[in-house]
Amino acid sequence: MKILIVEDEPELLGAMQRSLEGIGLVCSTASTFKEGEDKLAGYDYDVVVLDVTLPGGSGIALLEQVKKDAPDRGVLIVSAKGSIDDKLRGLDLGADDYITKPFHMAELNARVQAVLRRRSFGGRSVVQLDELAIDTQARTVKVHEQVLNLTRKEYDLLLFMLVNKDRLLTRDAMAEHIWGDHMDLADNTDVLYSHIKNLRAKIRAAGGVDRLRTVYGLGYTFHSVVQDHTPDGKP
Amino acid sequence: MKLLRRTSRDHLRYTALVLAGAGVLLFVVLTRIIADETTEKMLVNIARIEERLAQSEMVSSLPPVMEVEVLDGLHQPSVVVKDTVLFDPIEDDEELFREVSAVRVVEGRSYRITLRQVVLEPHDYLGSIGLALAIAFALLLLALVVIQRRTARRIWDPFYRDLEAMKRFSLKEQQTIALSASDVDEFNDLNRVVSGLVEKVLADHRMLKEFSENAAHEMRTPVAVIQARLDDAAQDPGLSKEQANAIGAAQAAVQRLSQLNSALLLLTRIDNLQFAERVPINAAEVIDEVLEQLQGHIAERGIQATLHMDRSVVIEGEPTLFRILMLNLLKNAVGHNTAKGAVVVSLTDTTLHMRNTGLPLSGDPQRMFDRFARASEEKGSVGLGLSIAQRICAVHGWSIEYTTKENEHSVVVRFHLQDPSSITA
Repeated sequence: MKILIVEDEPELLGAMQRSLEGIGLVCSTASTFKEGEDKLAGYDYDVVVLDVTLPGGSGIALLEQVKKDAPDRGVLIVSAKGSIDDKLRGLDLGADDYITKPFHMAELNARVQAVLRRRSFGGRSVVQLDELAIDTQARTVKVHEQVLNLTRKEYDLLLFMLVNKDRLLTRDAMAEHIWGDHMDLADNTDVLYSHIKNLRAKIRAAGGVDRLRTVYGLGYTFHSVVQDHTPDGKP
Repeated sequence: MKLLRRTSRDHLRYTALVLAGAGVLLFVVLTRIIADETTEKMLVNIARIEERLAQSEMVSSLPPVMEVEVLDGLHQPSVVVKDTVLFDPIEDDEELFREVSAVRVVEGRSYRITLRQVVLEPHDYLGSIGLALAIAFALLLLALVVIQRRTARRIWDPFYRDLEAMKRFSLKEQQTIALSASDVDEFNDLNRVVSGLVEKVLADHRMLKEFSENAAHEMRTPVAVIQARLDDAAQDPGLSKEQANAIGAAQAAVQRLSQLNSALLLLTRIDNLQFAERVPINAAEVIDEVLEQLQGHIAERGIQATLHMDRSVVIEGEPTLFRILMLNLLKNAVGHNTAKGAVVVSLTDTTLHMRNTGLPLSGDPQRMFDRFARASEEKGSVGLGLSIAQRICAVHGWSIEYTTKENEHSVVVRFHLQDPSSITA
């Protein structure tokens, strides 16, 4: 899977590249309109991550070009503006998704993966990790072929953790992923903990491995490989 | 005091002074003229008597007004004028007389001719002068009032109309004020200055708003970089507890900064009227969605949510804003609730009423919609939720009202208050 990231802020570009490579994607980068244009002409990418404001031209113009040349190429728009106009124009022009700066890298991973799944497998895709299998179109989770009865938030959380496996997930990133913007509530942590607790219980009840570990003071990591099976408690 | 009353008061004050001065002058002149005339008349009469005496006619006396007396020997002619008080038997009173006593030589004989006339005493006509002046003053006053009534309306009406227009002026609506033309130069000058001022204020305000929006935008990339860098740093599995704590604290602060930034940006964008779209929205569906979003929080606190919603209610509004409005109100109702508390949502086609249990309010209920007005001990929220709710209602032409009584908090949103198209322009 090849990704092109077009972003003019070098620090952010580096972080995005590291993050996406961390989940096993191959990334190219471009930091100007021209560079983006050249790379798009020369190589084939599955998904283009596109900043709206670029030196030398607008990301929206680049999006128009992408959609003209290769309509089934996935595009994720990144914007510092977050204005409705940009969003609607982007989506109208065929962008698959839209993300506003600042964002959590785990969120970027999840969004890019979602675009990839939609684009690459016609939406039919199963994310698998040993005994755990998530059908992203049917939105079902199986452990040892047994279907888990998850709530929408538990499903969203599990898919988010699976995409970002072996990566530290902060509580804020998880909270923002399942609740979106404007959810600045004091007891987010408690509610998140409840969701995680229920999710773990359901996976364990179906005979699955509890892969989630608390990282002191920071959040959680969902491990692809676990040595010991001792579950840990609330942070 | 109104300018009109002030000027007429001054006007009347000076008029009264002038009238009093005129009265004194009139009195002095009148007194002088009367005295001179009386004396002159008496001198003429003495001449007449002289003529009679010359014709050897007998002139009889008529005391006290006329006395003719033959003097012994020859005397030099002379005239003595004086005032004297005499008893007048007819009037039966002492009277002041002007007396002109002349010594005349007629046909070789000396006569003393004395004429007296009752003097018109000053206090006799002082009253009349005063009365006349008082009547003149009263007439002047009356005329002034009538003239002012008449002209005040014509001259001052545009001024008061303009004053109303200026009072209604609000920066939020971004509209200049229409001032009425007047035939008074001063008012036209004032209008010109005010119009110029309004234009300048609007331009400055626009610039400030653009600046706030741009500043908020520009802040996003550096915040994103900080967040990304902290994210990277947190990935290291070998972090010590201290390092993890430091990174965690920095992450929480960046998260808060990011939320604050998007809330402020949202407020700016609402104020800049960037949400102009109006579509029919099924309010109950949005409330259901938001409640689903908050389900975890509601369950966590064991809150009882009761809905009395007319599911057919359709609101004309901007969908993104309407959703944020519902989210902010319900978020408050749930977030500021007590464990095992209650939230009641009532929806009719004119009103949305949300009530919730909670701790008694410590601050001023009137300040609930102010930016950053929040309970000080509160964590998590950036304190802009209700300001955003209030601005959303304002651009839709809805009213929003918060009331509280002990442990109950209540927010009422009234739709269809005024034509929203007048604001979204």
